[in-house]
Amino acid sequence: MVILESVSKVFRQGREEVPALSDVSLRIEKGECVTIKGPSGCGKSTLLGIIGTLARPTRGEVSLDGTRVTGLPEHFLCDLRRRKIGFVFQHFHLLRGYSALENVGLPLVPQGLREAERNRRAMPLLEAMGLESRAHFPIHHLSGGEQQRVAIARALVLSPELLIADEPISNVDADNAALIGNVLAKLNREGKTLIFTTHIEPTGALTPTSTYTLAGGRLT
Amino acid sequence: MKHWVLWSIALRNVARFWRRSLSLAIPLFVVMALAAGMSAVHDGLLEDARASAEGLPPLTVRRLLAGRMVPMRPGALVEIEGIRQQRARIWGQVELFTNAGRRTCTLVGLEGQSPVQPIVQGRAPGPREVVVGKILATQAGVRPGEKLALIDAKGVAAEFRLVGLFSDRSRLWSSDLILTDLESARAVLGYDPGTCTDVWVDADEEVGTTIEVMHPELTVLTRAAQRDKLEATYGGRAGVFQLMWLILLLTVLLLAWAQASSISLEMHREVGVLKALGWPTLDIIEVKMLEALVVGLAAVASGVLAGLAFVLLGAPILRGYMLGGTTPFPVPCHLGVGSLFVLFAIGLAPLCGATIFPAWRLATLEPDRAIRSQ
Repeated sequence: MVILESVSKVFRQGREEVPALSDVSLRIEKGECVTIKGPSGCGKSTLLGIIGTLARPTRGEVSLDGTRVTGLPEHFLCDLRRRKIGFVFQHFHLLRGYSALENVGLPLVPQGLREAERNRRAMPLLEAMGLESRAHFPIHHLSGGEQQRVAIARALVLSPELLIADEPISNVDADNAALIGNVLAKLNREGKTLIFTTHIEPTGALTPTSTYTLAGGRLT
Repeated sequence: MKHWVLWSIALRNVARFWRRSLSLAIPLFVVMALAAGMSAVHDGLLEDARASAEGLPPLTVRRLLAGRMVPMRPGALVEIEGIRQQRARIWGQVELFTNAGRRTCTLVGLEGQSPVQPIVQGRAPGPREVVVGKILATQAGVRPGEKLALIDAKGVAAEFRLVGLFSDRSRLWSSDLILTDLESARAVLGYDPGTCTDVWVDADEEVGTTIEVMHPELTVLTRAAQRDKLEATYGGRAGVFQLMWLILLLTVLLLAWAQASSISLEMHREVGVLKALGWPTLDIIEVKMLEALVVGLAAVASGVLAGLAFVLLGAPILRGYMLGGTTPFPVPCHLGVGSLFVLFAIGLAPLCGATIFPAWRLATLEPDRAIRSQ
């Protein structure tokens, strides 16, 4: 369960303060599929970052599964992310120079797993994404849609309860959007909580249980 | 197990990002090769100075007049207590002619049978006989039993037979000294009968003070003072190396700064992403430090080996700058443990610091901030 209470986020640029989120409150139950819509620059990525413990709110409280995470030290949050959260970035943020398979296996490194074991766990996810033939390709040799799928596989490799995806279907072609939508819908059906942002209407099997709109840093 | 996994990732990253690794390793290799070469020459010079001092007498008594050395009579010292042995010595510069050409050397004639340098081949010299160092014999192309010519004080060539060789433990002596008996040296260098250049005295240091009190015209040099003088002279020559050391140190610091700058541009996203994936801060720092350590160790170790090989080959091109263009003195090569430690410390410490600090700074940021701040 994810609970946000009066969360605000202000970025500082020199002496100037730029508000990104204002007094956002949100409650997401386990197994829900939630979409957050809104125009570019409205704060969607910032909101996902705060839910995913990648950033701290300026004000307000965030709870994950009953634990208030706002004041926790960074190493606790690191552990929490590893155990519970899978994050898919808008720009994928895959590591260049690594293959698709190595990128998917990266979250397994802190567990001390050898490369063979990491590959053994990562390969089925790439297969599920239809990328088994691309597994050993350097990541920059893959198309945008393929990279998006690799990013999703990476987010799933630790079997997180909560999957957060920033514009997973917005920046890919229709075929890839449908494929990714189906994968996300299947994960949601399997019981994973899914939160994603989009500025286009989800199609196909991906049907949100709740939809929120973010505008001017406020959630409606 | 986890550290082994992190090690393997770091090693793979060094190979995976080989352009980045080489861009750091090549300048570091060149800098460390130069630094190691200079250190080897510097240490070699000092080592040679110490070895040369071992052949010096406990006390050397000489006569100064208006600050200049003038011939003296050794009999003045006979009544002083505490002198175990005294031997008159005559020395000066002579021209040596051999089949290999002409060069200036130092001719030394010492009273008594045993020479100042241990003979390793042949015997001690008698009248019209000389012993030279192994290096000089090789350079001049002469062997025991052969004859060589010295130009005496009147400009006339005097023929000598080479009867022995002394060791090359001191390269300075071995490449410069020609040992003969006292009378032969007196004849070649034009000293009056009964005079000598200085006196080789075997006595305790305190006796030197007694000599100076009883004979104010005499000056006593102890072996320690002469060793200090030799080391200072070599150190002075090595002064240019100290300056180059400073330049090299600055170069390493610049490299480290460039490394830190390039990291701060490139590593932001990587560190932010790894943190977002749940990597603990220490794991990230460990991988980054290991990457720098592997590249740095490889570059420093190969640079040091290359520098030593360069000096062992006679430091072609740079030899003249290191030792002076005309000296026949062979380039010495010796690298002490202390210098080796300094080389590795100077090569690795700034590099590791320049890697660890930005990695730590980034790894302690929120992942979102680290990614956004690129």
